[in-house]
Amino acid sequence: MAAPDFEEALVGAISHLRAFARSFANDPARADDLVQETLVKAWNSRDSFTPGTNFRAWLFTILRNVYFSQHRKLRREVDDPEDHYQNSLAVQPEQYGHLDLADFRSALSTLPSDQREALVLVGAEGFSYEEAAEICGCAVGTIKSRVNRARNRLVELLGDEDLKSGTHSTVPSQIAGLVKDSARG
Amino acid sequence: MTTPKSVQPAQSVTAESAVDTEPPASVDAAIQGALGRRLRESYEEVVREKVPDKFLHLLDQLKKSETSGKGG
Repeated sequence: MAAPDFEEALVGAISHLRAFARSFANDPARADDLVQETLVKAWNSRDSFTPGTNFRAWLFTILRNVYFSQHRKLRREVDDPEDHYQNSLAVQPEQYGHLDLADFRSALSTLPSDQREALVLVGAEGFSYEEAAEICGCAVGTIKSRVNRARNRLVELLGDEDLKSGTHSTVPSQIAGLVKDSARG
Repeated sequence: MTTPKSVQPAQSVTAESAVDTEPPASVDAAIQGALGRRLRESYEEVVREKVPDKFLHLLDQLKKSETSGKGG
């Protein structure tokens, strides 16, 4: 890819890299460090990107590699606090029917990181199971089962009634249909 | 290649579950839809944050170091 095109695509993907990085590092500053290193790596290895393939998937793969190489180093050196944060949050929403994003996020943060990652890639970024499997370097079936386990666990934590009656309900489609019909009639 | 800076339209739940290799659903569709909406809301909130200038500066630096290195 020509350098200007590559740069433009890279700039456009930064916001997504930042969001994806937060699914690894809950601390925003650390997540941004990850993104910075990813940008340097991506820039230096831009010849290895195959035009026509998914650029964002390529970047996400790099970010993962950066994260895991740092993580391995960290684990050797210190007792990584991130291993604790995942399991330390017990989420029990007390106010039924008032489930906000903060509750959702804490629930998400208690998931095992591989499940959270799979769920984010498929559910938030909209990658196919196949693409997600390629990014994570695992089998498609593994991604599917991680996504399923993540969903089940979130429902368990958040309560299905709360999820359904959430604060951001939209007009049910049947009602929208009725309104349209009566306008026409 | 253009990558939009803003959030791309979120893939709808129906599109996702219409994939031929749908995994065995153990969570009912309404709940799954609600879950998906929350997930995207939470994620897109971060995507929509203004990208700090330090990232653009970093790219500028990378570009510059390359041009100066190539001289001659």
